[in-house]
Amino acid sequence: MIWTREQAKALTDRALSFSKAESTTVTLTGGERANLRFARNTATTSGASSGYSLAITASFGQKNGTVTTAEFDDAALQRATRAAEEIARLSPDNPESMPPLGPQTYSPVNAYFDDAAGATPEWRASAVGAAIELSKQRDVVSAGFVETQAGIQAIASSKGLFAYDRFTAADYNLTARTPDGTGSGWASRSYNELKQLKPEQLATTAIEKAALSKNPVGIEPGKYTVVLEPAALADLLAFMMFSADARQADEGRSFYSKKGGGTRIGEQLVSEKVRIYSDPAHPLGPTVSFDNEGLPLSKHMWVDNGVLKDLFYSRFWAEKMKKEPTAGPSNLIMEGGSATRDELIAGTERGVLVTRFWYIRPLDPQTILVTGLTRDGLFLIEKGKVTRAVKNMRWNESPIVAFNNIDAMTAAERVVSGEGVGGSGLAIVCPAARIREFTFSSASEAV
Amino acid sequence: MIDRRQFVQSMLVLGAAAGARPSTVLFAYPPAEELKNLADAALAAAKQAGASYADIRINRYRNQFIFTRDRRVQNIVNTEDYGFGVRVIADGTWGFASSSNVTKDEIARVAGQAVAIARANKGINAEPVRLAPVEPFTGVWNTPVKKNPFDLPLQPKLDLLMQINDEALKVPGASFVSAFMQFVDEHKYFASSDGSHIEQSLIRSYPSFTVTAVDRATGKFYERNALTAPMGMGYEYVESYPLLQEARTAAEEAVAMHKAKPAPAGQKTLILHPTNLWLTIHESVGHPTELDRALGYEANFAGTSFLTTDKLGKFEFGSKLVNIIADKTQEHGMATCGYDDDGVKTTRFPLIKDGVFVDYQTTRDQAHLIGQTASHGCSYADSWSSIPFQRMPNVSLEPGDKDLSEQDIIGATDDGVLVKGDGSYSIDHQRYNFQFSGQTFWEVKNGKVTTQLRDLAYQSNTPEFWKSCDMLGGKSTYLLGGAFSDGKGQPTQTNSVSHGCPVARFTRVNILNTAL
Repeated sequence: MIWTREQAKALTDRALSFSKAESTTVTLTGGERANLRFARNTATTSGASSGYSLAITASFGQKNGTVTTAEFDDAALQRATRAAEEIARLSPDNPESMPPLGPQTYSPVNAYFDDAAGATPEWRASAVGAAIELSKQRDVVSAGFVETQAGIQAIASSKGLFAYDRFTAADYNLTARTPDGTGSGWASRSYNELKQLKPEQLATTAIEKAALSKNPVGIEPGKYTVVLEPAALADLLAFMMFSADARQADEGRSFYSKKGGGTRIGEQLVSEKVRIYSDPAHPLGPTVSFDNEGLPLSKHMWVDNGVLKDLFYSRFWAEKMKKEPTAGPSNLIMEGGSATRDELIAGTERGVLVTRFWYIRPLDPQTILVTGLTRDGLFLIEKGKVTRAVKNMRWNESPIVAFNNIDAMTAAERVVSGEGVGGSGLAIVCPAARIREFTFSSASEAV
Repeated sequence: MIDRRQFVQSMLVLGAAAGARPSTVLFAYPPAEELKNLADAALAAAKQAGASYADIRINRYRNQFIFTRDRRVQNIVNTEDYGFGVRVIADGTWGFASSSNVTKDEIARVAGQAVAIARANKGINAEPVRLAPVEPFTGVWNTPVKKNPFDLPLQPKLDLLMQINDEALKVPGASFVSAFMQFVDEHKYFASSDGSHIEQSLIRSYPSFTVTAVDRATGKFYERNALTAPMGMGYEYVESYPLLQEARTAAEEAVAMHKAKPAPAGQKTLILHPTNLWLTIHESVGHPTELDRALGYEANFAGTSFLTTDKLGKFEFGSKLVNIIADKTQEHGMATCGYDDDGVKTTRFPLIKDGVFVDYQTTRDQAHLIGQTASHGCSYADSWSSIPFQRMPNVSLEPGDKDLSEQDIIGATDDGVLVKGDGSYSIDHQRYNFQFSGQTFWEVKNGKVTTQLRDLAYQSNTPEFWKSCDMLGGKSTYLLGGAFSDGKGQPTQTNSVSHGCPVARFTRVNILNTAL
């Protein structure tokens, strides 16, 4: 069982009671997680871990010291506290240091579900067993991963702050490959609640994609209309938002910097169809109710009708710029449209359907130009129909350009991106989309 | 793959916990006798629960991060993490469990849990685990450091970082500088039912910085990262590197980028400095020669490999100049240690010999799958809570026979580009198609470096690229590069690894201009 609110409070109270600093903040994180991997249609490794860590930050004016400890008896807590105080005294003043928060008001959310917290090794084995059985029946070779976890985070300060929240996550993903090595399919999901995870359904999706993607033909790189499945779109969304820091923008070193000074808040940056926000209470991607400094998380708009509404403001930068700090978001929601996936395909004269992206890395922060590859199912669309599998390609594109070229979207859903964004930590909810003139730069032989 | 995002995010998390900690050890690492008692308790409990093999790792990890920007110390963060993991084979199936509560009772509970996990998976395991034999070892191995960074006071480190800030910001046009140092001590104890008891302390050090030059009028900005590398060394690396000179050069080159010539597009002769080529070796040679990838064990995340087992011993990977060595004993290498996390003594072995693919990186449980009778000692877990699996040793390109200098190679080039430092990097999941950028780019015409270029990347296909290698620098050009954050596995684990290489030349490589 993971630590309860009472257990967490007892520890943070005890840790704070040992402090001799002017102010102190303590943060407790940890929990339990267990996983099972499989490959070559057989179980490979499997493990479980249990652990907690307490970070103690002691402050004297603008001097701070932080120590982490995983031992919680009185002697260990006192040693850690003294060490934090010692380093705080040694440390130079940090003019950007912010005082600890006092009591905050949090809106209750529910990111914890008993079924995920109670998942057994036998459940994980049965989830994997189902995929292996289906793979053998359909003559593909599968590899994958199932993980269940339950965690807590708590924060307390000598100024009276106390916050505690708990969460669960159940993740399942797999790749099915045809024995001749010419076809590969993938599916991945993460939910807070175990019962929403459907291992057999995911296995079926991956296996069917593997069969459909067999014997791909090469097509010329260039500009194509793309239908991006939600897992592919999620990576573009993540890369667009990873660089949305207000300070970087104010300092002139971001796409979000305004020429001559300031930020581009208020400017139309992408298609008016685009709305991006965070909401810890979103039913598809619920998260904890506060960030790692104890700031309350609430619904917050980043992009509305394509207009940039806000950037991430740290407490220091917000104070300096006379803005409200934005708590570090724990989910990203991109609203979708009313089309179905079939309609996105049917409305494409010539284009490609993308299952997922892979190995995406920034090329130019001035334009958020990124590069990556397609993987595990790339299909040619001709006259509104998927006609055949095509070979993977590298693409060089900016999410800003892509989000300007959005034609149509499906409804949004909970998704894990090809790069793995969207599991616990940062839930992602987004649609599939049809996007014009997406730039592919070279061919890849990889299957 | 190098997981830069995870690395940056971990830095942000640490940055959020504003503060510092002295280098005093919070948890006394137990003496050898007590470690042995704890280990024996685990092995006995596992055996009693029915395990045919068991090992335990009792590990303590210390990190120190010092972050500065624009002449201010932002954070001094020391972290410490301590716990154990028990790995067993029961009924031919792997099981693993771990805990941060290092007591005899918890060790017995966790050993039982590991066996129960193995048993739960027995029904879906079609390939009973077979371990290559290993000699039992008893011993100690420590990174041979001259100055243990954890024994040194903070002040000299802070002073040096402030000087780096000063040197960079003195350059007209340099707008911002962020400089940091990172030190790692991975202290681990390994014991197995094969009779080994091994204690190791691995020290790694990394000073680095980024200079940014912003032009408000044009709205453009350019960054230049230090060409330093993380090393399996102590503080002596920080002291021996000409960091202040590098800070000045970096600032000047960041500023000069605004007026640099736009990169050409098309096929060019490419001269790669070791500070760039190390990452290309990592991605295009290190990963495809991992046996677990070739066999499909990583198909769901990191991917497979174009170097399938039928190519072993015969595939022409590169030109005859290309000799690439895997080496977990290499001096100053980040993956260097005495014994791997299977308890196998580390070695040096060729992967590519005279251009031909000749071997894979292996572990005890996978060597037999390609008919080998011993492991190459490439098992590693990044935490007490992680399961050991096949991870990359230091993988390095041997220098050429003739001791050619960088200047000799430039002098022999009529029309090319020279790339220094690692930049953007991306490669497909079977390791064919790659694209790399760098920190600085230089036009080479008629045997001379003529001008600085900007916005350049090169794109190629692994065997084509290595077959186009036509000149290698000699020993005097050989440098180690490396990374702390090579990501692989599920859940993702990071591995520290180095790659040595000389300056090298490649012909007819596709160059891109990356400006939109």
